[in-house]
Amino acid sequence: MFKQVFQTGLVPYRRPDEWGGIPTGIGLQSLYNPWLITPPREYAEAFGGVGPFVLYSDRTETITGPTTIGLIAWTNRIYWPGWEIVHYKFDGVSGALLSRSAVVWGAVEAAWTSGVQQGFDGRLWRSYLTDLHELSDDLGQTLRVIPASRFGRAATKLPVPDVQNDIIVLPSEAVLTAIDVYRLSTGEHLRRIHTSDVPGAICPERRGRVFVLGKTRQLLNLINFETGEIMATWKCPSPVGAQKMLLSWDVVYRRLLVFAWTPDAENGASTSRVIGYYPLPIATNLCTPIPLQVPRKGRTVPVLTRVVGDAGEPVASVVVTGAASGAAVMSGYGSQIVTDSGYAVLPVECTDTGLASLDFSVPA
Amino acid sequence: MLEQLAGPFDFHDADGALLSPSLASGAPETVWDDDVGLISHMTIGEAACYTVTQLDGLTYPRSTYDRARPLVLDMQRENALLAKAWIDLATLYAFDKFSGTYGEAVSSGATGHMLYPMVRAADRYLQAANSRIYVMTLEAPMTTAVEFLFSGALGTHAAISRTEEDDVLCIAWSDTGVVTYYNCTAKQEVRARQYLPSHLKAWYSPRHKVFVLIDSAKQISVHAVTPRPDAVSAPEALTPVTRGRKSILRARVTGSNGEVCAAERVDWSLEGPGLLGAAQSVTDSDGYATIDYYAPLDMPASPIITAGVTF
Repeated sequence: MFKQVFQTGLVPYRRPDEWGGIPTGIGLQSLYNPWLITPPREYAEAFGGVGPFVLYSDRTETITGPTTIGLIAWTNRIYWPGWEIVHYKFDGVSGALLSRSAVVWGAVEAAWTSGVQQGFDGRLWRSYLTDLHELSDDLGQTLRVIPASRFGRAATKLPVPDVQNDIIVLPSEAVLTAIDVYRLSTGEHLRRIHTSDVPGAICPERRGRVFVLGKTRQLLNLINFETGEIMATWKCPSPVGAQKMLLSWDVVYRRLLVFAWTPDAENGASTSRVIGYYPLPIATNLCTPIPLQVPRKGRTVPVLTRVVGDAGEPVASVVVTGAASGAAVMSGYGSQIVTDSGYAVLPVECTDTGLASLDFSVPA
Repeated sequence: MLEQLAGPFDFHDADGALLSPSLASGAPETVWDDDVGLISHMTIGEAACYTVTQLDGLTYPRSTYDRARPLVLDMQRENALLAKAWIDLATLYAFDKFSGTYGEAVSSGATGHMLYPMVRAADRYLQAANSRIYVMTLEAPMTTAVEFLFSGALGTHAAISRTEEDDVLCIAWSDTGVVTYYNCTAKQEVRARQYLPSHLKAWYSPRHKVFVLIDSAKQISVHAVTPRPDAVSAPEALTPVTRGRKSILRARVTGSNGEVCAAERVDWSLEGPGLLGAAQSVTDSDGYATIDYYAPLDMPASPIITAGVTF
């Protein structure tokens, strides 16, 4: 669990009366996907197919700030041809929707795109058929193609290229829970790094580091792929019922952007949005107080607790406060800052024989 | 018997659902680690995974690997663990305990010949089983040899933990609950034995100086390194009781296995003539508590002095 510091507005769907009305013709003028407007649903579009498939952030300035957040999604709609690839842009400060435009990929092109990813230089790449395509800024052209065979792979899904440092990170095809690191120019396999979960999203953080989000238990690793070290393991915040999660790192505000595709509301309205977090775990649980020495009347004993986040990871630098009743009182200040390992030890003075009750807490 | 400090706690997830650790015979995939917690492998939700459990039983998934691999203490690196390959149990891999993931292979020798628990020391592999320490060479780990035989029947299975001393291992024998300490440099038993209840697995925590124990009901509890008082000897006079003089009496507090109970508060009572110097005294490092007795000049009856421990 991270502290939320930002959110965009909900990804907006359009109603028929905000768009082109309800089609009543035949052929290309007929009503596509009539379920979209079958009551209680009332919107002319909704995420469908592979749904949202890339979240990114870049340094495109807006009137309020230095960053823009992009989301590209497959949508179903009531108009011919029944689907559309939509490119949403949000203000990186206010979270407001800046623009919504169609990506001009044909049906075959869209259908054979199995993933779009942001590279370290901010440019978008896509895995098309099996190969890796570097895209132009308007997403309409392929600047270059790198075959999957260069890396000895069948496909290049979820690619994270670092052109400047001649590296590419891909989920391993040989091991379910691992990423593979290759030399981009030659395809040389540099190393394999096992991950805590099956990679479902990968995004660059800074040079040599990527976030890898698991799709089984939403475990999130921060990985230094130059050394092979897993620097941290957390649980990524994930709304109940999320069908898909996307990840991006905002290099300006140093926040983790997470998009979760959540089920539409009963009337068909979108419930999905981009949320920003500071990637520092917040406390979700406090271990039951554990005396480390045998309590006896007249003895002051150290009592241990531990502050952890929702992956059981230690949470440091929070204050634990204790209260005692019955046959004991808190000794000293009755509070303690936890260590880097999340542990805090508070002294408790045993004033009598019999039972004592201890209540430790982390003040908000 | 070492005194229980907390528990027993059920293994449970953050929603309070009960969990059951996969503690098969020997439970080689379960290890206590002061940095992380209890590393184990169990089913949470629909799938098995590596888990981390706090001292009160609260358990979280740490990685999604569905197959448990035996974990090995690595004395060559500080607070590090290794994991065996699950297919042939031969190759040893670095194990990142924080992420629950495997790293590079560090040995491809046939360490499958060695059962559990297992330690990679600086110059050899060690295993504790059947009241013995078995060893294999690092270079050609094909056959095991007995390095040390503990006295008495300690049992078949054990868990090995680090201690505050680099070359001393703590071995908790599951069947009997006996805790032994082994100096793997001097190759001999050191320190006095301690006694836990019989259990499935137990480890010593050098950071917190407690034992973490999983009992046969698969519950977790925490035990002190000091024994629970079980008996107080009858007071004996160190100096003869003489009319009009002070004499010194002592009583010894021991645990259920005869262990010394130090720093325990002893309550003294007197029936009959005379006066005690205090109502309470504290046992020394040998478990003895002493008290002064002042005998009056006139003693129509013999004094009855008793010692007891209350807590």
